[in-house]
Amino acid sequence: MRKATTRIVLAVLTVAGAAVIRGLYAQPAPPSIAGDAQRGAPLFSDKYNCYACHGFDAQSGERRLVPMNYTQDGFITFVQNSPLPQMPRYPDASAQDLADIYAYIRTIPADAPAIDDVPELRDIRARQRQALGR
Amino acid sequence: VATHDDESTRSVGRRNFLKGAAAGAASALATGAAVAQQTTPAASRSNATRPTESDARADFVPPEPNPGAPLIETPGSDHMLDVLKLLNFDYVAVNPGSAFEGIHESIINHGGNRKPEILTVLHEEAGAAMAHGYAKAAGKPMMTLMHGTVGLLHASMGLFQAWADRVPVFATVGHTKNPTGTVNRPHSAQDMGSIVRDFVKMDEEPSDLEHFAESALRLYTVGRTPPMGPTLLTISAELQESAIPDASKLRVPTSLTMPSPPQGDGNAVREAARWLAGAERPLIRLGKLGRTSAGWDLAIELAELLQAPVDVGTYGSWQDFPSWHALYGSGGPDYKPDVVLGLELNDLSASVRAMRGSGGKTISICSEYLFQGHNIHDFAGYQEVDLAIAGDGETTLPQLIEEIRRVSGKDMPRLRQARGAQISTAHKTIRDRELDTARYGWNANPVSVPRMIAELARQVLRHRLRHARVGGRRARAPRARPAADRDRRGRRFQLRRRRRALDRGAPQDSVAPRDPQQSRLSCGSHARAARRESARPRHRSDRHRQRHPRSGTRLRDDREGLRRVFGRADQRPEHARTRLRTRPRARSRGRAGARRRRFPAALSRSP
Repeated sequence: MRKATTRIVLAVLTVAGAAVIRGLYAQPAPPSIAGDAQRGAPLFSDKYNCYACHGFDAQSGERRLVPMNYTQDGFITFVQNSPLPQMPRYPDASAQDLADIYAYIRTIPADAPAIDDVPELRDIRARQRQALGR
Repeated sequence: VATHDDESTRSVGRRNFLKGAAAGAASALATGAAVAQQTTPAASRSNATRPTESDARADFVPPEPNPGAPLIETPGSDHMLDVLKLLNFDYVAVNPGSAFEGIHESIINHGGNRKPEILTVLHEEAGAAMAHGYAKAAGKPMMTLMHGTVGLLHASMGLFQAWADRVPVFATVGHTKNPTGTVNRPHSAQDMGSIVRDFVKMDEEPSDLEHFAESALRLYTVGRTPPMGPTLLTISAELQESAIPDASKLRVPTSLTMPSPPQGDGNAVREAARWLAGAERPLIRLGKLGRTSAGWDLAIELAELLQAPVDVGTYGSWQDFPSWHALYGSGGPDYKPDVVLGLELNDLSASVRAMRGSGGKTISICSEYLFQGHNIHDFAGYQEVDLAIAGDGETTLPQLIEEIRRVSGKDMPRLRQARGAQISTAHKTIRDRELDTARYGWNANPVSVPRMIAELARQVLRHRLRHARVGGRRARAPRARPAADRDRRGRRFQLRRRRRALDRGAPQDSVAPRDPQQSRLSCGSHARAARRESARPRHRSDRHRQRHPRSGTRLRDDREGLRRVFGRADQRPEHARTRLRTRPRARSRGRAGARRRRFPAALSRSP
């Protein structure tokens, strides 16, 4: 009787653990707010002046936003409550505005040629290898 | 230095000529203006019409010639210039002003506008900023000459920046002590130096010519002694323009004796060496260390000896360590230092806090302990470092390195190599990540910062490879010649150069004084242009060297990056192909050459 109870408890714990792990490594949940990329473009460049640090293309400034690694919820939470001193907080920015900006950023293609295709970067890499001995 | 008696006999005709020429030019201009006024049609013009040349000429008020003005044969400013020539200034930045007319005239007519040569600037702050940058590039101060009060106020921001950067600038200001007229009165002051006294290292206003030399030399040596800073010499306008009362009492010093920079106490340095040699994870943090290129070399030597990471922080103004070096950086996120050495870093507070928590130690070698500011300070709060050594970092480093070598055990190098490999790996990871990030937004408009820097660096490198000097001469294709042959060729070169010099009628000694009968030059850009046109020899080989790399040498841009290649088939060994050739004796040559060489030399080093 006692062994059976232990087995049932172990089985329940295993199933619960698997569910937790699956939840951790699952694909990001679909956006909870529908973002409008067209509306996000002027918000990015005009209203919130994101371009001033991140560049007009969201990838030529500091810090790079393309490719976007945040989930939508994570992005909204981060922008509203930034813990980084370099990034100002926007507590008054609405979730809808930020969802639109998020959608706009996701539409920007990455402009990142391979290092071998850029003479300047290729040159830097060659000198770096020469200096670091590899 | 020529005596005043010799100079007076030469200068009578020259200065009389100038006075007559000025009067003649003034009368000619006045006549021209009158003629222009007569011939200009009196037609009314609208407000939007641009002024014509004749309008501008009509507006010009020529200076009134004063034939009765006294001619000063040997003004005090001539003596001042003789003293300043001892300080070997190449340039003086000038925005012309009436408070230093005397020394302005002496620089041109008594000194031939050489050493120093006048650079006309449109704002005194620009002149001070130029002197600031020049001192950092050339390793010696430049002179600025300013008008009283207003000129000095304009320059104040530039002098402040030089002070904050601990860079020597030899600033001079003209001072009309007994002013007449509404313009000059506010341009004088009870205490001219007080305008900038809070951010210059020292200032003086000599009251007579006998003390001018003392003040000038003292200010120069004080400004160049670490901790360095700008100095101000106030020069009385009356002293400049008055005749020298008794030339026999004046003496121009024959030599300038620079004091040796302060070195840290020997016992304290030995203690620091023991701590560093025994540390498991030392960290070097640099501030304004590299006064000269020797500081750069010593920092590399220390880092490689200890195999310790070198953190240059984010100050960015003084680049003291090559970012390409494998030990550049803080060692990665997992590197927790147990001994931190701050070199010329006046803010070690972050390290002090971290070491207090972990039980580590902090050492500070800094000349800022010798700095005495009164009103404006830029040091941080009091830092409880474990060992504070007052002394110049660059001067103290040789002893520190020697002591570390002495106290290090036999197996220490092997242990340190392992540490260096770990730091190098962390550095490579960071560099790779930065390079990967630089790709993004490569074609963005406006241009991304990484692309701008990469393109600029490429141009600098291209220029450097083209014009790199080897052993004081321009780089040439290396040939496999025995040393004896090279020496013979060197002697032949010297003989050929002497023969050419004799053919041109030049004195055999290159530093011989100029022929006093040689024609004087006008000032400013005209003088520079004239010298280039007339005095510069136009040999074919010289032109060739200026414009193109030597035959057999060319730049190649391929998968191995931009580099200089020698001939079609480069047979040299790998170590010789990957860096520019330098000769051991080149180390003792001029600073400029050493600075240029240190970049490729740093590239070739690895732990």
